[in-house]
Amino acid sequence: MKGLLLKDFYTIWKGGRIFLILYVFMAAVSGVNIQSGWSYMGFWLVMMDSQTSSTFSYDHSCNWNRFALTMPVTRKDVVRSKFLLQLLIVCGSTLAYLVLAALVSLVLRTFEVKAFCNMLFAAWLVFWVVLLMGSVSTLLLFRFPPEYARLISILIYVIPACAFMGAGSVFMQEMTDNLATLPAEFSAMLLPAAIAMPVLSLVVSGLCYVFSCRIFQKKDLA
Amino acid sequence: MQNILEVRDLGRSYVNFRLEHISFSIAGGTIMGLVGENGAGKSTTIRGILGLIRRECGEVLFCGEPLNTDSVAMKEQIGVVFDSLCFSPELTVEKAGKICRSIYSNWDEAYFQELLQQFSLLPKQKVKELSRGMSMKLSLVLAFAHHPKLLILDEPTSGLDPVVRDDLLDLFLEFVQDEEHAILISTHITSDLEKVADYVTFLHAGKLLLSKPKDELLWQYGILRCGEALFQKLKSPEVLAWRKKDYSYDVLVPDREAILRKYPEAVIDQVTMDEILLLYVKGVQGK
Repeated sequence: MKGLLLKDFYTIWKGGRIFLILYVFMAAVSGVNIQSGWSYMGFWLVMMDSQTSSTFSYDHSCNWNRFALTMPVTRKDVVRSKFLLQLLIVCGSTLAYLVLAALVSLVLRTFEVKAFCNMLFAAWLVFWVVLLMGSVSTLLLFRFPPEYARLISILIYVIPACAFMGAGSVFMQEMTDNLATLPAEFSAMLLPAAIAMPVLSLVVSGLCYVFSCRIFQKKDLA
Repeated sequence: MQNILEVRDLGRSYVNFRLEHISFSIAGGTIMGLVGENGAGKSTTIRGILGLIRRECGEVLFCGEPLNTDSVAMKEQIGVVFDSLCFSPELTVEKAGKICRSIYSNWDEAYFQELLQQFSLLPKQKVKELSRGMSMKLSLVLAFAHHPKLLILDEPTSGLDPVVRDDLLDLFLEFVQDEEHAILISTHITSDLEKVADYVTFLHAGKLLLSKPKDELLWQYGILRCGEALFQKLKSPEVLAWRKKDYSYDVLVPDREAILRKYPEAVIDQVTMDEILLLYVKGVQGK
């Protein structure tokens, strides 16, 4: 599986360098105004996670899976590598975003503990949401031909991301303005949300992995 | 000699095509050619052997054990070359090697570098910059570098010039010199098989026509060129396939010496693989 991941990283590096540069830039910009920096995070995490989808297109164009399965690799390894790739990208991107934003804000002396805590909380939620969306996208890409990759990306990433960003901005503004005097019942909702999202994401991702294995097991690689 | 690969009654159907009852075996130290016209089922057979498509019937044995897609240990001993390189165009030769090195546990990096030099492949060259011949050489290098027992080549010499084809054919002969290795080559370039193959299996429209030693085909089979009178005298076992021309018949016979003894006036030519294929595909089988 290491070889499969290596192949995908080489592919993404070639095709996604511009995204990486933009991502680093946006993470740094978040540090300039750390109070609202979290609001860019969701969009850019989604963009980074979508690189997993792009590997499906590359694989299809050069018949990679057909060749990969002639090597000491099982069909489950192929599926596992895609989900692991997605997990690594989302984890790495989230950590990198937080670290870059914190560093830039420290250098520019705009760092605020409260604002950074908001960003951490937002990162926690966004991480699990993006992981869930990515898992569903990966499942659909195993099921449908790569020609539908762009459409799947729009359905899974862009529409929910825009809705989430819109709702999130209202929610987080309320929270930011009223954190000191947040009604107890409102703040009591945060903990369940912080727990429910990971559980939901892990369950859905697990199911997506299982279904992807079943789909790919039966797929003809002509 | 143990059979390295055995295919027994392999079958698969599609909407407009059916692969039926494909059976052959490849012993160690031999090269098997899989021949047929475009759409005969050569690539489908190879994909069925490798488990890339679901087999509806039949089994495939590698060194006596069942082979399927999840047979990781067996796949360490099989090298496969398709008609095109399956790496992203932006990857370099070196990176393709690194990927394979991470996958094969018996990868020989020193041998890989030696083969790259032998074939004049530059490590930093991108896949998109390689010519057709160089891409095929890289595919072969990647297949050889983990010391497989069996090489499966799907149209490896298509589109290559005679010089490159000759280089590759020499490599194949060298590979099977000891009796521990075998090659299955699928091709419609029959002249390549006449040079290197030990056995030839003919496919046509998803069916197995024959699977024979190459020497038997070239030296025992013959093309009888005769008129109506002689054609009518021929018995059914003496006719494998025939084709009527304007004023004569071309008849594929399994034993030209026997036909000459029986019909001394007959004109029988030595057959080529192309002619065998043409008679089966364009002619009528049997009598």
